[in-house]
Amino acid sequence: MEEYPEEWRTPPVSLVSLVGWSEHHHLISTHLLSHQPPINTLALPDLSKLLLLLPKSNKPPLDSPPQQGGILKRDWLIKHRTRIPSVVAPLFSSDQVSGDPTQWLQVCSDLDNLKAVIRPRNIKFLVVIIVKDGDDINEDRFIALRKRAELDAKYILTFNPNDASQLRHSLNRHATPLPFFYLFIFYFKDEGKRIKTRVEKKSINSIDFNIRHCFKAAVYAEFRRDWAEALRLYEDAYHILREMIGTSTRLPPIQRLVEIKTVAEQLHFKISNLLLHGGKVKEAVTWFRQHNNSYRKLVGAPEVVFLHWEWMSRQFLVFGELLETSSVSIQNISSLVSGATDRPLTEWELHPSYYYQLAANYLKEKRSSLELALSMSETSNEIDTSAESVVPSLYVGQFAQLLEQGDSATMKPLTDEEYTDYAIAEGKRFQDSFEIIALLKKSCESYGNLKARRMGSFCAFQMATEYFAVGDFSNAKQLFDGVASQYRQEGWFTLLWEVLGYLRECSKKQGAVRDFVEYSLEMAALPVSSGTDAKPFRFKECSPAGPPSFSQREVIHKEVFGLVSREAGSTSVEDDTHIKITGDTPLHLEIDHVSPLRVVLLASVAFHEQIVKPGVSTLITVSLLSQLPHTVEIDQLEVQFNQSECNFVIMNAQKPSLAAMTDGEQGHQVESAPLVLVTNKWLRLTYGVKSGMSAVLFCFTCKSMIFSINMI
Amino acid sequence: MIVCVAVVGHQNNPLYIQSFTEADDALKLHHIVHCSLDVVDERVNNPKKSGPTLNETFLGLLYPTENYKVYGYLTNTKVKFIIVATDLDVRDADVRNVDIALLRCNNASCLSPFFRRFHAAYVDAVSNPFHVPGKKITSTTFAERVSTIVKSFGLSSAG
Repeated sequence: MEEYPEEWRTPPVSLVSLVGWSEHHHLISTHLLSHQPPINTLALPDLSKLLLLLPKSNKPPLDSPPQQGGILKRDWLIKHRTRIPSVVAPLFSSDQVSGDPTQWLQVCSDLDNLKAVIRPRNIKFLVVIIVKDGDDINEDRFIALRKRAELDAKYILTFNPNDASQLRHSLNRHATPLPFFYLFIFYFKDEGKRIKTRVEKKSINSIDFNIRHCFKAAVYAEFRRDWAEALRLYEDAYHILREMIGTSTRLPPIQRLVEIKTVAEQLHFKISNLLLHGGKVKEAVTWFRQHNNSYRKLVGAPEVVFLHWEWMSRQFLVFGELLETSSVSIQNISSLVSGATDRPLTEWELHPSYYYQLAANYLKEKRSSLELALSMSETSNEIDTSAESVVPSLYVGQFAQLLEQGDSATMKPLTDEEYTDYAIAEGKRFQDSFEIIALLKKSCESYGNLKARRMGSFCAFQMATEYFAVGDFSNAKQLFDGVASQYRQEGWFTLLWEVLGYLRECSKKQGAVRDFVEYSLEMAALPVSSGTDAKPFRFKECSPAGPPSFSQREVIHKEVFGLVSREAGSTSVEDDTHIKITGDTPLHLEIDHVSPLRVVLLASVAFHEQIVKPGVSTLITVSLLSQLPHTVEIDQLEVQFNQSECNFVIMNAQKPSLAAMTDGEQGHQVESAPLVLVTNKWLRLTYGVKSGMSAVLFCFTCKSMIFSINMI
Repeated sequence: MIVCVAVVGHQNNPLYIQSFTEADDALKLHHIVHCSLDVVDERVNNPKKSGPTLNETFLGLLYPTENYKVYGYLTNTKVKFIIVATDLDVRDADVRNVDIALLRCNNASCLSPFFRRFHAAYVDAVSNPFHVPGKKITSTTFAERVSTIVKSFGLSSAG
């Protein structure tokens, strides 16, 4: 929204021109600006400057269509705010009015000149008389002044600059600056009528003309605060504009569509703004929906599709911002939601987060289209040089090439090819990823406020993939971790698989061995299979780990076991990464009660007897379960108790060399058994232990040594 | 056209998800179904806001995405049925204002019977003594039945 000019974003501010007695201008200007609604002032030292400001109209006759094509002039709104006053207020001193005939004649002449200047433009005026303390204006002269100026008495104001307390009163002879407002309203009403008559006559069968005049009439209605009329007229302009698509031939096709969309965007902004500020949230959302439906298919030429997605993204962003800033009473959502019939509104359509999220999605579309356009444009280097001289032209949504010849500059219309080159060059200047992340962040925060955790998680996931794409693995990992815990908690394993795939890749890029192994093991053990769905996953945008399937789990299993197995020694997963495990720095993974790795390996120790007596042998059963896709062989299993003398080690009987290596190392009981864990099959081993002095015996750790996983 | 159906347990865990789309967006549909649970929660936890739909099993339109519309249904055992439908028919009809019947078809009047048939299929599937309550539904009969319901809905809405 910030990229729109201020005159578009804010309600119109009327302009009054003060003429003469410059020393009082500041005081009056400040006073008028502080009023609600504020009035801008244009201070002119004397009448001659006004003549310069309002030269004789050199517009073409009304009945002839404009020669140069264009719907709306870019500076038309700002002109009415800062350059063309709707009311002129000449200042005269009471001495001038009540003074000698020469002075009086000068006043009369000034008034006549002023009238001659402003009448053709229909500008209204009032007279301000500066009075000093104790001054009194001659009643006859006052009547004469009124007659000369052809003004009603209420349009002749007195102003005493010396008495600050009286300032307000003296300027507001009618308690408020009503005279000004009356005149503004008259001016804009007259202008509106003039335009309306012209449109109704339909003497010119030009769509451009009709849109322009509807728009102008709408702005005039806004100036006089007739919001309903303004809304109606903006809507008229919008609908006429929609008809223009496919019929206009004024500009080359690409530029024509760009112009229409830019104007539609501005009209839509005005309409939404008026609806929202009028508290009509439901209407605004419905309007936005229609706007979106009308234009989303108008993609345009293939080489500039990215412009369309950028435009779409902006529509969603701006509407989201409007919803957020207007923050009208959306508390009563139920009435808004339930009131609709055929196409009911949903809760989320009333929240900005929904729009920010979609704005981000469209910006992603834009990025990929732009990348495609860039890859297709072979002359990308030449583009930059010629595109530099392209500037916005006189009309909204149009561009031209600025040609400087000596001191003069001319605007040359662009061909569609030149425009495309310019648009691509402009598109290259922006880093869309950061914008996408910013939008998603806004959306995520907003969903957070609404306690919509899952939607927030999805936004966080999208943010993380953006960070991942730009190589910011630290931020990506942080976000992915949060999202993974959400999916883990609710058992959405397919989604978890995708996130873990990214996390695994992040840890690989960061050289975090432990994380890499943990994520890999979790993935390998995740109960995902393509069998749960109607057909196997074959989505294009699956995570770096590939689609969730049993075969993919097997691949990951082999990869991670290849990395950590002793046979492999110091291997790296890929040559270009820093993932390495050596015998000197063994990796210890702990699987506690809340560890996500419980899905990988489970261990339990059961005592056969309910009571353990000191010095008496008791039987325990150690059970192990692996959910990894392949059989896992453990080298050594160490069971630790609170009484260390009870600890014992089970060596893999199938690996006698290992058994010999650690036999009796610490004087612990050493057993031997085939430590082979078959997928989803409990391995149960029963042994006798003898408690020492205490009857309190409990097992607290099972240490299995393949790569040393501690199970508590 | 229905592109995805899902059964979600009362712990918000997926019990069954099946997509019916040729495009490579199965994962996207999982995301959509998962996100829609927020709306279900919102409607169930804020009865004042949810208005007249509170006492009905059919939750109506949960939320629209760019290309899809998501509808929900809540059983009395708090199991949720979510369907994701393409918005194309609705949008076309809306823009051209030509086919109001089709427009309404994707709405409550048309989807409510669909959900009831779906519910019946679900009840049959979980009544199987070999099904473990709260675990994923792996029955192929259920999958086939769901496919038939979805296909017949596509035909009825197109006709």
